[in-house]
Amino acid sequence: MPLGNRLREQRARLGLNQQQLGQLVGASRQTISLIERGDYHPSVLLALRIARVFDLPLEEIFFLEGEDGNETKE
Amino acid sequence: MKQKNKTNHRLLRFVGILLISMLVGLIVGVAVGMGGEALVPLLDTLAGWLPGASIVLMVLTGVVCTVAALALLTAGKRQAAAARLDEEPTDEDAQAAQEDRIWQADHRYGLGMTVVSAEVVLSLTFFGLWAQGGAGGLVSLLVVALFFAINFSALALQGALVRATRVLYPEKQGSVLDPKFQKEWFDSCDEAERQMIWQCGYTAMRAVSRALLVLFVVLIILGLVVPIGPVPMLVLGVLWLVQTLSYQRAALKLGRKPKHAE
Repeated sequence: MPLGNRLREQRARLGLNQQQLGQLVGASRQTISLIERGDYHPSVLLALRIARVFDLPLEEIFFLEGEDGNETKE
Repeated sequence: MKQKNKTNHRLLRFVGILLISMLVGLIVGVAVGMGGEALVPLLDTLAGWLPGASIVLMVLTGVVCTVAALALLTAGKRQAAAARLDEEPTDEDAQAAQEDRIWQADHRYGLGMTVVSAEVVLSLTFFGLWAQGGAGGLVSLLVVALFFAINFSALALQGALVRATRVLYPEKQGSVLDPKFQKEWFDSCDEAERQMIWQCGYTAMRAVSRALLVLFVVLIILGLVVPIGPVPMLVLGVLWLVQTLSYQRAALKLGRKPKHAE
């Protein structure tokens, strides 16, 4: 199942661009862009760092998408 | 039932490949046996013609690759300038447009790097082929000078491409003039970029494995007809062994012994 994320809206909430978020979590702007597009699934370590920046639980930022494209929560 | 059908299908495919390989081997064997003697004068002609032609090919490669790489570098810089990297896009559409331009620039730099890398390998190959002819005097000096000129220009282009890429991705480290460039560049990559490098490495390893196998077969058949000497097979064997052993060594190292809690 593909991994969905709310990175873009959380970034907008904190007023961070991709470059700034990347610097805070130790990733490049390109990688943040890949994650947001769903073209790259971050490691647990990177996902936890991102969650810490947004001060949210991991499940609030990343979720499993169902086959019909809808978000599924287990 | 489904699993059994899959197994049967794979078995049939394997037997098919085996039969086709036997047929191809039969045809090649008969052809070599019948026309093998004609190969020797043909190869002698080639050996006489190749050193001279190699100089021309080396220069042509240098010119074509340099022009192509410069064009790609220029096109990439144009895209990078249009991306306006110093500005922060205010909305999603503007951000998507900036991302697209960055990708276009990066893609062109990547193509440029591919062209320059091919230029270096080809110039080395043609230089080596020329050297087989054993020319001397002023011609040798000229060819050596051309060889160095082509490689210095390739190095300069690689440097320009790396610097242009670092404008897109400022966190990247390393200079092409530094012997530790590959390590520095890799160390400055994050997890996604390292994964891409590893995937590319695996793809390259598989491609080289196939190429080595084909070369092995070709050299075996050629060696039956023409006295190629032991050097080609030895070189092939060394390369294949280095590739196989370095891969296996890395795999063994990564398979760490489990640590059990006391």
